[in-house]
Amino acid sequence: MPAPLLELKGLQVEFTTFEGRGVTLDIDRLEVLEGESFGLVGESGSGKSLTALATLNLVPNPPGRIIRGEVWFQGRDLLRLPPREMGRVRGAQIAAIFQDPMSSLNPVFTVGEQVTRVLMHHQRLDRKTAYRRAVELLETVRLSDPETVGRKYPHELSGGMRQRVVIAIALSCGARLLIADEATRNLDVTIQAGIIDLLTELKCRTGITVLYIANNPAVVAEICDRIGLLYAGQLVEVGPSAAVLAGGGHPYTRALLAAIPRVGDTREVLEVTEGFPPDPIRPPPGCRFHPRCRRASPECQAATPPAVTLGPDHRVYCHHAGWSA
Amino acid sequence: MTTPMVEAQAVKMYFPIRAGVLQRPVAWVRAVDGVDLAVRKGQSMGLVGESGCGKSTLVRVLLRLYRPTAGRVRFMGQEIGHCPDGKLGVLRKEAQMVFQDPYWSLNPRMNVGEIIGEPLAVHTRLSRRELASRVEGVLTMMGLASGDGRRFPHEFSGGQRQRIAIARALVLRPRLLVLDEPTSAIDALSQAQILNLLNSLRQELDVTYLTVSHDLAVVSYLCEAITVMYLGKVVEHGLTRDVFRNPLHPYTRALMSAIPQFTSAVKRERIVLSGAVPSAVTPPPGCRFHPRCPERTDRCAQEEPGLLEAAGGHHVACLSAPVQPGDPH
Amino acid sequence: MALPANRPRPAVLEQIRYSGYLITKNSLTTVGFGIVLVLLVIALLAPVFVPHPEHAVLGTTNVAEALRPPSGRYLFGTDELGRDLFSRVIYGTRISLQIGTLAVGLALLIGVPLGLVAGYLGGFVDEVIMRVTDIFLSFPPLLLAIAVAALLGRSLTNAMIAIAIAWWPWYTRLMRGTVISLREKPFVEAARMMGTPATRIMVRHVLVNSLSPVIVQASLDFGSVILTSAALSFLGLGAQPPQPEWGLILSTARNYFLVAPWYSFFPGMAMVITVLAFNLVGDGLREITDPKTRRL
Repeated sequence: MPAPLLELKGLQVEFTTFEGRGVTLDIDRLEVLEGESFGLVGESGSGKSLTALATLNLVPNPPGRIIRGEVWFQGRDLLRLPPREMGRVRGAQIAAIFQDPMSSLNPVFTVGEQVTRVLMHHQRLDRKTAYRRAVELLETVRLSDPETVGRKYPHELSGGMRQRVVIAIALSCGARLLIADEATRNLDVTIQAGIIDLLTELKCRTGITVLYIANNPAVVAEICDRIGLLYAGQLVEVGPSAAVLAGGGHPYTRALLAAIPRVGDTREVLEVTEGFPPDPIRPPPGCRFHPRCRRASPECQAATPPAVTLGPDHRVYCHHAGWSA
Repeated sequence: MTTPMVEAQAVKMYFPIRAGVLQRPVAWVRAVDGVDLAVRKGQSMGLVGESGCGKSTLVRVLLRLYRPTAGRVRFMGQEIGHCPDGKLGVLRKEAQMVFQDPYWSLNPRMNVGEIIGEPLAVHTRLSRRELASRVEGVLTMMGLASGDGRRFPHEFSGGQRQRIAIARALVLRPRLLVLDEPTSAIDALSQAQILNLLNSLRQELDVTYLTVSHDLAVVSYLCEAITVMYLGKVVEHGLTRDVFRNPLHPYTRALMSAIPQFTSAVKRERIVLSGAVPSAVTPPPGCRFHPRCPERTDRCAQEEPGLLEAAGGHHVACLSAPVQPGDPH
Repeated sequence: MALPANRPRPAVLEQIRYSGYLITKNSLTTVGFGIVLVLLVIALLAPVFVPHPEHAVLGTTNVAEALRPPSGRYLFGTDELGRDLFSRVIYGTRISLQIGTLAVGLALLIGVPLGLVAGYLGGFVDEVIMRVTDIFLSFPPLLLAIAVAALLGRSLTNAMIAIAIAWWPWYTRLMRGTVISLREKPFVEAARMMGTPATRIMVRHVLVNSLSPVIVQASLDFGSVILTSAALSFLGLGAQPPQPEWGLILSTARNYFLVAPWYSFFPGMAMVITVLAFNLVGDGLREITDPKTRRL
């Protein structure tokens, strides 16, 4: 098994608002292996984007604060790096793309110029070489006619093309880890499919590690080797995609898979989980899923569930793990 | 054949692009460009397509939020496309809509009781007490607590807010319910609750659904019939199971192959569309899909395909599709 | 079925508490609100604690005590007619707050409905209303106020009317912008689709949701309006002697600036503090009503 490139240990993020203070994110252990693509799945408010921010040590403070934990990346704990060092890691070794590509692009420069500048800065190339390399990169992200696209401004491109440009910029820094936070959420399905295919291809060709964050497990299944599921800020299950999506692990995983309608579905009624997502500031005690869980017993409310290993590299945080097996 | 619940004939909706000192229109965005559509009474119809295909504009024309540039719209047999606003009473009472965004679709300064009671206040002369009991009844039907009427929208989760929006739409017992991306902004577990709720309500209340969505899975679960739009035109129409089993238009096939389906992308055959959706100001000549179509022929750039019947009730607008001869729609 | 444990408190109470929290969170805002509160109390209770109300209200003179410097007897000194400046400046607070409230209120009364109608209806109505506001906005507000005040004749009431006439177009503009962005929101669309009459939509859906920016602007304007009215009085177009209006006091005081500096100092300071306080309150309100600062 390859070594972990990124490892989160005992990470807890606290939020303080007028309504109170609570541990919004509580991750026991999560590792992203070298060269894999890892999918982090959860509903909005489950803390998946917060995990990405914590990894980059960018949790907005206030209202948020990392109260404990370690984020190991290439042998260093990112949470204990001096700010300048961390700044270098963010640009050069970890790149991030977000839901809204416009927020990562400068509207007053052409996209070719933007990729060129990043290359000049990070790879210390002269302008001409950098420009040639920028065009190559735009071609790598499957933009047809990269020369022409390079001369355009962000607002002249469609959403899918912008996201491809952002990916090209991420690649141009020579990053080892690419964090894609809901990168296809606002895109149409046919455009989304193109980006998914691109990320899959890039992973194979460049060996870049991808941390893919999404709310749709079906999207993640297409890209990722391994999946982690978050519910209300807690990791509930992590393991190889196929094993997790088989649905035999955590009751939440089961509930989620049963709730999603599929094309060609013959079910008349979707299996429904009652209740509503909990307040992130005041999550339920113990296992945070227990108020909605069919298997809930008194111990689920009393104690945080332990990690139970179900198979190779497949663990579940549940007091009743393995019940369906 | 009985009168359809709502019917569009050759409907066009163009929006002007104005420029210059005099703000004269210099070009037109052809959001909807010649659409025929009929939703039968009691049917559940799905309208799918990607952003910019005109599906949201079309339903807004069907509900006379916009006056169509050309064409006829009939609601329960009555022409509503061009009649004066004062004659829309039946439409405003019998057709309601649920919006995509559960945050902005409810007035943040009104409590839930006022929000749900508003259609009653506008269309009926119920006493305060009758109104309150109607509101309470519909709250219970939606699985909300009766005391929730005194609370404000921001106190609820996305899924709960969408139930409130559905409650507001159903309180008048309308005949037609338009659902504009009803679950695309809420979480998966709440989505399942809402979809089940919508399906059971339709049987219970005998209401016609017209669902607009980009999510084919949602449509397949909610709708008996489906209409696929691309760039202002209908490209395929038929019963959901026929369209899914045997998609006839290349665009429908590409759309279906793009749906994420819990399998690795490496193992899947995917029809990848090249390029972006063209501008609706200057749509391509001939078949509008031809610049991106993997199966295009020379004819496609010149000849515009009509929507023709291929098999019983299954229509397609493609020159290469096998259609029954001599039966223009 | 398990219900979530997080049923929040009643909305109104929660809003008030939360606003209180935001006011006290920023110390400058707290200071602003504090000063405004003190000014209000001073204005209301002036007759109770002022030593010489007759100097302020009636302008009774006492030439024997003219131009006395501040002392235990005359806290702020006296003016050239021997009147107690402390009493006059305190009574001036009443006048200033009155002018602010009435002038801003009148401007809102004209500006808000026009902006609402222009923004919601659009088209020709919008075009007409906005061109009229453009005409008003093309004059500097002070100049316009001077012109109108001169036209109407010298009095405090006319000065207030003049200020309102110079100010309403700003509210119309602000209101129209907010209304246009709200007009496209789904809850307004929903109301139109269910056949809600336009007037009801404008009042119940649009107006109530578009007032915050106008209220913020109005509280910021409070200070400028007080300044403008002082300027009008200073020029002789507003308050008339013996009214204890700060601008009017200052206009006389400048003749004695070298011999009696306190004469200018106290009304000047009163104005500075008042204007500053309303600006702080306006900034604070902006922060409180900004959706970005609310919640997570």
